[in-house]
Amino acid sequence: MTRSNTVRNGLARLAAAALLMSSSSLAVLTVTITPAQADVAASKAAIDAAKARGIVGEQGDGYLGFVSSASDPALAAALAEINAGRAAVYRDSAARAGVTPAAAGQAAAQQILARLPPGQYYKPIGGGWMKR
Amino acid sequence: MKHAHAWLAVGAALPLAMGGCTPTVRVEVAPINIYAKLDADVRVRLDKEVQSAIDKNPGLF
Repeated sequence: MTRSNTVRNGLARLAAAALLMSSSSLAVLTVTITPAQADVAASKAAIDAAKARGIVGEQGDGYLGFVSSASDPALAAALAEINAGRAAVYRDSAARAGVTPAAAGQAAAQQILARLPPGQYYKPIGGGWMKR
Repeated sequence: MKHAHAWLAVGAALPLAMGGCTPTVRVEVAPINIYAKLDADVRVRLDKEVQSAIDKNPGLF
């Protein structure tokens, strides 16, 4: 009787521990996912503002670049984050079309340039920054 | 004899030294060609893929 009680007790504790662990890992999951998405949105806003001010521009390889040398570390981090996201997109598109990611980036650059607002900067491959 | 040894040492060291100084030859293929050189049908396919990718990722473009 005492023995089965102890076993039951042990089982209950195990179940409680498992519940605690799963709920805590769930909490960790939600905590890690939400700020990452918020980060991208914040990065996009920072980059859009920098593009409007002529600090950041679009390059012929499909990536963002600094028109003048990077001075703000937060902006540099935002730019790196967006570029990393684009790299993943180019890899995916390239795989679907059966080309290299670099080709996909260049294809994207054509379309990015087509919708680039006047006054913003663009750097063709092998060239310097130009104002659209 | 001493001289011969000295020259041997120089002979051994020379290729190493030259190796250290040899400028790296960078063959830079103009990157613009990657897209421009694609077959027309591949380019059309790629353009469609990229267009939909851009539309699906407004946070990145």
